[in-house]
Parts: sequence; C-alpha cells; structure tokens
Amino acid sequence: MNPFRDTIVASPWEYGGVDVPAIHGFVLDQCVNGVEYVRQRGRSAGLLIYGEAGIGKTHLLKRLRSQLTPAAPTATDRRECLYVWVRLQTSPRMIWRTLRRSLVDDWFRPVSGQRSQFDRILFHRLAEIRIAEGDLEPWYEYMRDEDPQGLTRLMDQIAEAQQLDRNTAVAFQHIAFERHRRDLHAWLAGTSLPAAALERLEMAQDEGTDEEREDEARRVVIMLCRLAGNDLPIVLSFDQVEALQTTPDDKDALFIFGQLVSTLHDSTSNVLLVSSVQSAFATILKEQLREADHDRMTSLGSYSLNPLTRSEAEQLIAARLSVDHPSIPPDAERTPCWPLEGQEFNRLFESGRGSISPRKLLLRCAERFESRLHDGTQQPAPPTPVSIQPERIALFLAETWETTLEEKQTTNTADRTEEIIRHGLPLLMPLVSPTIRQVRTETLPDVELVFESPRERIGVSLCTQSNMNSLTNRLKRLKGQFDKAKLPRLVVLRDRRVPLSKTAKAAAKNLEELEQKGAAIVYPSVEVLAAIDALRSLLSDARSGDLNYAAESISPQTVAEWLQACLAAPLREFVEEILGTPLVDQQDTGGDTAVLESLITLLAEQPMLSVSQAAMELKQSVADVLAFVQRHPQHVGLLGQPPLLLFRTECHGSAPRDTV
Amino acid sequence: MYLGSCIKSGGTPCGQPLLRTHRHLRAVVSLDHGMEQRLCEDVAFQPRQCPSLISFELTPSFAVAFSSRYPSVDGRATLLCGPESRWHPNPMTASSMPKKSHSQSPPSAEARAEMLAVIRQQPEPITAKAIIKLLPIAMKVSEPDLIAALHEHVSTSQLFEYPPKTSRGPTRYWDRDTRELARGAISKLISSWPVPLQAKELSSRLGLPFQVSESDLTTILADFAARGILHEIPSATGKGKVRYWNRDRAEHFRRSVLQVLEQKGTLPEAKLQSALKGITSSEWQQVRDRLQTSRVVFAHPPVGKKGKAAFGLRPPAAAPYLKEIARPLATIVTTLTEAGVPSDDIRRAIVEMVEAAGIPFGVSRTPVSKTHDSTVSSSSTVSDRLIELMLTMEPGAARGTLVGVHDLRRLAHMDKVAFDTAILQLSRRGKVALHRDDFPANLSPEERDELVTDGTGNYFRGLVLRMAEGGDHA
Repeated sequence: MNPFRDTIVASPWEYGGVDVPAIHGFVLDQCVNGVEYVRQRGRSAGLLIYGEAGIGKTHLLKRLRSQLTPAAPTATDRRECLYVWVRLQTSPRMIWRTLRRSLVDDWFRPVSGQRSQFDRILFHRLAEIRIAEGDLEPWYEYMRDEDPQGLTRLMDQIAEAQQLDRNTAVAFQHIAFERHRRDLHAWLAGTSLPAAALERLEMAQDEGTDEEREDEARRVVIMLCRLAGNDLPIVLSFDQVEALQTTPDDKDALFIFGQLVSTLHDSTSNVLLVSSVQSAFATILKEQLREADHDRMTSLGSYSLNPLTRSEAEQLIAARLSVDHPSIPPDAERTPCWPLEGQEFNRLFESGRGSISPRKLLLRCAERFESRLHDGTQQPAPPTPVSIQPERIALFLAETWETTLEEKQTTNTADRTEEIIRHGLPLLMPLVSPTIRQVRTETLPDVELVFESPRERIGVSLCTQSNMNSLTNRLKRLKGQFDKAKLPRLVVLRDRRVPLSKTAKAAAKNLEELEQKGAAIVYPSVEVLAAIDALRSLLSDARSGDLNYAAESISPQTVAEWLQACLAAPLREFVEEILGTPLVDQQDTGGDTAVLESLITLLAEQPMLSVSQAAMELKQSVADVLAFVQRHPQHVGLLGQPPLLLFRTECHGSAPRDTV
Repeated sequence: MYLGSCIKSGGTPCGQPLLRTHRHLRAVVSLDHGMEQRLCEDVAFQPRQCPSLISFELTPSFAVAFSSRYPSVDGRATLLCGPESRWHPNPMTASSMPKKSHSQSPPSAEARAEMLAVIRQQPEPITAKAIIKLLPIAMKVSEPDLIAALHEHVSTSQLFEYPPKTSRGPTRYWDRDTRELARGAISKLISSWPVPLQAKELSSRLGLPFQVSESDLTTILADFAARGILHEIPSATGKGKVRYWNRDRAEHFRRSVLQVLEQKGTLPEAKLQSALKGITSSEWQQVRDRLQTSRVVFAHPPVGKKGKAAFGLRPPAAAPYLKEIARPLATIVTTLTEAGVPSDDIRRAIVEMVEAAGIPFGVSRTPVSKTHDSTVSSSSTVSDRLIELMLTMEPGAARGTLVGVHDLRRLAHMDKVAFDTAILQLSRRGKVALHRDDFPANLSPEERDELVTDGTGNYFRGLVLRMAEGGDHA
C-alpha cells in the first residue's frame, strides 16, 4: 500500500491517520486557546481559518476534534467540551435547519468507547445540582436503574434552573432514561414525524411556514447551546462556506451566514465559532460581509494555514514513512525527501512560491513511490504537466460522478428530500436551461423555490412532511397563496416514500383541490433525488477547492460545463416536469447522427472499444465522446474503470447502464 | 386549552368544555384542595399547585383511555367540578360549542413575569402566538388575553410594539426601544463604515430585525449631525442625496483627492478640483495645502511652455523636464567633437555644469562593490516598507492575518513588475507565505493583473507574515 496515497480528510470525524504536530500547530493552539477563552470568560467568540485548496483545513478541524474528544469517562475534575462540524452544502434559506441537524447528529454520534455528547451534557448538568465527586457515569447508572424517581426529580430541577421550554425538558428526560432514541434524534434534528411517533415522545411539533421553521430551528439551536452550559464550551466549526453561494455573486448567502454567526455570537455564551474558507474566499468575506458580522466571525482573530516550509515537508514525508513496507529503505539509506530526488524536492522551494501544500507534496510523493515500486528504477519521474489534458479531467469527473451517485443512492432517505431539492434544484436549473433564473418572493411563504423563465414564473412547494397535520395545514395555506395571475405554475413536490395516511382525508382533499386549481403534483424518483444530491455535492466540493485531480483543484466552471454536457435524461425529464414544457434542446443533436452511425459501425467491428480509441477513430475529443454517450444511452453504453470501454446497447427497453 | 372559571366546593358544575390539543388534555380549573386530591386519585395525573389555579396535564395513556371511553365526542368533554367530581362526555358538538369568551380572567402575575422573561430572552421582536408557544404549560393563556396583557406593558413603556414582518403578519413585541436601538446601530455603523452613506444605504445596512421608519431615521441623523457625532457630506454625483459620515468634510475631501489621483493619475488643478463635488474654494485651498505639506500629494510644475501645473501622488519624473535641453546639448556635443575637443573634456564640463546645477555626482564615483550593497539595501528597504505597510493596513497581520495583494499594491504605489518582484523576494527570504488563487483561469485578464504572478502559471491573491518561534512574525 502506498503510504502517500491518502491525501483527503473527508470529515473531522474520521479516525486514524498521521499528524505532524509542527504543521499548522500555531493555528491549532489558537483554536484550543479559543475554547479556554470561551470557558473562562463565559462569552462566545469567533475565529476564521483560511488557506489554499489542499492546505489541510479539514485536517486541522480533525486534529481539533481529536484533541477535544474526551479520552476518559466524564468526571467532575475533567474539563470537557463539545464539537460540531457543519458542512454548509445547503440552501442559505435552510442554514439554521442544517446547523440544527448537524448539531444533533454530532451530539448523538457514537464516540468510540465513550458516551455520546448528549450524554455528557446530561452528566454535567446532573453534577451541577447534585454534589458528586469523581466519575459521574457509575453514579448516573445507579440513579437510572435504582432510583428512577429521584432521577426524574433531578431532571425537573435542571429544566427549571435552565428555563428549558417544555419540549427540550421532555427531550432531556428521554435522553436521561435512554427512551425513544431514534424518534428523539429525528425530532431534535427537525425531521417531520408522524403523529404516532409524537404521541410516543409526548412532544409537539409545529411545522409552520418556511420562515417559521427556520425561526424554530434557530430557537432550538440556541436552547441546546444553553442546555450544554458554560462549563461545557461548544466548538461549532463551519466547513465549505463557499458552497452556500448559488452563484459567485450571490451576496444574500454570505449575508445570511454573517447573520447566523452574529446571532450565535450574541445569543449564546459558550460557543467558539470556527469558520474555515479558502484564501481567495477570505478576502471576499471581508469585502461582502457586514463589518459587524465579520468582526464577530473574527473576534479572536483570523489565521492563515500557510504552505509547507522545507522542514515541515521533510517531517511530513518522514511521518508517512513511519510504517512497515518492504519497499521503504531503512532510515540510514534514504534522504529526508525520499521517494523524491533531492533536486526534485529542491525545485519545489526554488520558485517564487517558496513552498507547497501538503496535498500536492503527498501526491507527488505517491507518484514517485509507485514508479519506484513498479519499475524498481531510481530514474526521476517525468514532471507533472502544469495544465492537465481536459480529456483526463473528463474521465476523472465521470469516475467521481459514478462513485458519488452510488453513495447517494445508498444513503438517500425521505427526510433529506427537502434539503436536496432546495439546494440542488437551483444548481441544476441553469445547467439545463441557462435562461431560467431563481427569484425571491416574500409573498409566497409556502413556496420555497420560484424560478423565472422567459415565458412564466414557476413555483415549487415542498410538501414532504410525514406529519399529516402539518401537511394538511401547509396544503391549506398553499391553496390560499396559489393565484394563477401571480404564479402561473405551481409544482407541489411530494415524496412517494411519505404517502398520505388513510386518515389524512383533509390533506388528500386539499391536494386534490390544488390539482383542480392547476397545480402539478410531482414525485421525483429516488434515482433523480440521488442524482441531484450527487450534483450538488460535486459542485460544492469544486467551489470549496475540495475536488482535485493530479494535485490540481478542478474549478466549479469546469464541473458545471462537464455536467451540462453529460446530464442524464432522467434529470432533464425531471426539470421538464417542473417546468411543464419540453426543453428546447440546447445541443445540436442533428450533428450526432453521423457520429452515431460511425460509432455503431466501429462497435460492430469491435464490440468493446476504449473511449480514447473511439475518440481517435471518430476524430473527436474524449470529452466529446463521453458527452455523446451520455446523450445516447439507448445506443451506446459505458463500462468499467479507466480506461473506460464503450459497448453497444440494445435499442429497446431501458438503458442497461449507469448514466449521469 | 381552556381556562375554567373559579368555583367553590359544593358549587354547581361549571360545564365548560375541556379541549384536547395534540396528545394532551389540558385543563386549568380552580378547585379546593380536597377536590384536587380526589381528582388526582381518579385520573392519576400530576397537579401543579398555583396560587389560585391548579393545572392538570393528562398523561397520554389517560388521554387514550379517555378517548376510548367517550369516542362519540372526539376528545371533548366536560369537566364537572363539584362535590362529586366526575368526567362526562360533552353533549355539545364542536359547532355548537360557545366561542371562547375574552372576558376571562387576565394572565396571572406569574404568567406575566414569565411572559416578560420570554420576551427579554429573544434576539428580536416576537409575536404573541410565538410567546404562547414558549410559555410553560401551566401558564398558557389565550392569544387575546396575552395581547391585552402585552398592551398594558406597552402603555407603561416596559414593552414596545413593532410592526409586522409582512403586511399581513401579526404585530410583534419586544422589551427594547426601536429608536434607541436604531441610534446605537447608526452610530456603530457610521463609526466603522469606510465611506459616507446616504440615509437609504445606511438604513439597509443597519441589520436590525425591524425597519427604521424614514421619519425616525431623518430625526436621528439630524440630531447626530447637530451634535457633531456625524457630518453631512455632499453627494458623489451632484444630483444625489446628502451622505453621512463620522469624518468631517475636510477628511472626506482629502481622501477623495487621493482616490481620484490614484484612479486617474496626475491631474491639472482645475480638473482635480472639479472632480470633488461640493467643495468650496477655501476648502480646496486648505485640503491642497495640507496634502502638499505632508508630502502625500506633489505639485507638478508645467512641462514646457504649453504645459499646465498639475498634482500627483508621486513627485514628477525628471525626464520630461530635461527633454528640452537634450537636443541643444546633443548639438553642442557634436559641434565640440567636430572641433576636436576630447570627449573626456566634454564629459568633465557637463558634469561640472550638472553639479553646479545642484546634482552631485558622488554616487557615480562609488566603487562597484558598494553599488551592489546599495542595490541589496534598496531591495531590503522596499521589502521593509512593504512589511510596514502590511502591518499598518491590517493590524492582525503580525498574528498571521491575510493581507490582500490588491490592497497592498494600491497602497505601495509601485509598478507591477517591481511590486511582484518584491513580493516574490519576500517569499524566497521566508518573510511571507503566499496564498495562491486556486482558479486563476476563471479570472479576467484585468483581475489576474491585480494578483502577483511568478510567471509559471501561479497567481497569488494574498500574503501572510510568517511567524517566527514564539508567535511573532519572522
């Protein structure tokens, strides 16, 4: 196994891996000091971290999380804190709901060998009102098993002392007695629950308009922060802030993020806000955020993750080589920069840039390690080209798309439908039809997305609630808001996995009446939802500099162009369903006939043909051939890992292939 | 939820309906203590003692039992309060039920205190409906009752009324005064905003959870202007509205001069003055003299006979002025050479003439090795100056805050090549770390020109002072 191959930290909750304390140690110290500042002063604070793509922003958050994770059971004499990671791949209008879900997911997350973070809050709160010394967990377990009434009384005291609202107090009781964990998790995360589940929980759920739900999420987040208390500081780390913007000039998204930071800063007393962005985005934040919001975001300063110095690069290489591998020569027989040649290593620090990012260094080492492993030669590897061929990027994107789509299909659940559509549809629309733009409207509180095409306005209302009372209320309000003169087309988006219950007669009636008034009811399939989810994930990663090929970041424009060329028919059909009219094909498919004939002839001669060979024969680029294949799934299929192979598919029936 | 009226033990049943909301049956009734005990035994729910009222929350299991016992009434029942406390189905249907009377007793003192506490905790104004949601169950009151209580507090200035968020929305309430908040926000915004703002721009940037009315805004701005907290600045276009700033007119014009000269380069005095909208002659003279005295702006004498006096951010270049004597000098040199005067003599004479004009030639006599040192020293000076500039423009720079290349270039007043070279030099010497732009291909040529480039496809957007051991910059 290549010890340099692992170059991406996908989440701070990943475990394992190698750290070099000296690299970015100063910034890590500032984060840890920030936690102590919040604990001692009893006031929230903010800290901004930035660096170029591949510099290790998420890796730093992982180190911070790892340092803060308790290594022992909760005790009165051990200092602890809580950690939350918020990846902002979401619609700005759902930012509080995303924060609420992330916070609750992380606090329920099982921590290896330790209690969940919610449990730790419980122990701390119990210790405050009942004098206990030493380890708290055995004492709690005794109370839970032997004196449940006593524990109930203590929980009531906590609720009273912390002025918890009823729902939070009941939720905390359930946590204490380990009841209904699954439903409780869903309720706290803001997922719509059926009446039977709410009955079990003895909790209410009031789903109002979009704005009211966002307000509710804000209140819950602030309440949960208050529940943790000043002795238990919370690190809220925001990653991929760049992904909030629908377009590069989307100032609303940054304004909303700034407001969120300010509200958390001012309305809580135990939160350290750590925002991490790309260097280029740091200057945009400074220019576009309200000064007051920027001040709060950086109240403890803004810190740069700098490229590696020569000494740091050597330490990183040494750390990766500290594994047993037959191909790694003993320490005494290799230079500090092995597997790189000395000259090659020096070149990294010779030019004006003066240094290199960890990801780039590791990828370079990985290439050299593999070439030494396979060839057994000591010849220097050919230098990586400055610009990578577009064909290779297209192949990489096709491969990444397949992997992402597969993952999204496996993990897709109905409770994520709203977030996927809210964030993904505004990204998908311009790819399919550049003349359609998203507009904002204040007069339709239950229509989350409004698009404007040259012909008309189209509103999309997400009616995917599991709770039939909430759904009924929403459909009723929607009837009042739907006015053909103001909104010629209304799409009510439902999820087949959340059907109307037998008793939800009012909801069924309202839905029927909406349909009679001219609203369209659309049910996206799981495949479509997974594809939109994959699309937003790919674009968000590109915006945040997290989509890399051969040590180079792939720009969002490149990804958008590729998606535009290779967009699958189901996604186009979904957009057509939303718009209510067939799309005018943006691509000149007339010219495809000749290419198709040639390709079918080629495939008749050679049933399996590599993409690059087909491109050569057809005198087209690889990217064009791939785009062509995506447009004609009924004729040509794509197979395998690179080198990708083409094969002829049957003309009838469904296309037996995975498409974009 | 229903608030029952008070009855005494042995009195007639109150006959009021008990409503089922969500999973709970709730009732707040007034009973004597014996009755409370019996009810508790009967239905096994937990009473919470209040000064005059007792609140019951029925457990879900009881709610289910209750519903199955009286299925015909869909959870509606009458709580008969009397010596023989019993549950009866409510004979009334939902439609025939009496509407809630608003003549019920107002919220208790405890409920009012809780209501105020809830409002004080809010980061923004809140509606009556939202307040009810946040009140503890035992203190729930009807919306009309709550609104009446809220209005009482508004009349005593304990609370303030806020207009709805949307045209059809409900009124909101808060314990903070809008005008006071607006004053604070305006004062804070004006003190931190780098340029003057029109009233409308100012209003949109306040970031308050409510809209400040135009009349309030005008009054506050007039008051601030009268007290010298802010100053009225003429509009930038001449036709626009007056703007407001915490700096005075002189400072505004001083900055405008620098901005205009930076954007347009050297300008004749008349053009420069006309670019400053709203400036009076006396103000112009004061600003011009101040800038010249502090050597921030330099007067450029007219070049040649047709030239005009001008102003620039750098001293005038010598070459255009010396152009006039270049041709006659060349003619004289040719004449003397043709007359057999040795070139050394001509050089000596020219040097003497130049020295007599006040330009010493000492530098040219400096040995070669010293010239090299001088170059290094000059390069170090430029680097030091750039680092000083970084520390001045960004106080956090010493602790690792990123400084934008665009901003630094603007203040450094250096040409592109010299600036880029100096920055790359600083990086090579380990003084700064450069931050690449990850997608330079997406930038326009003009935008790329603003960045520092090393000529190998790397473009740098910002730089950070490298920390030495101990956290200070290297």
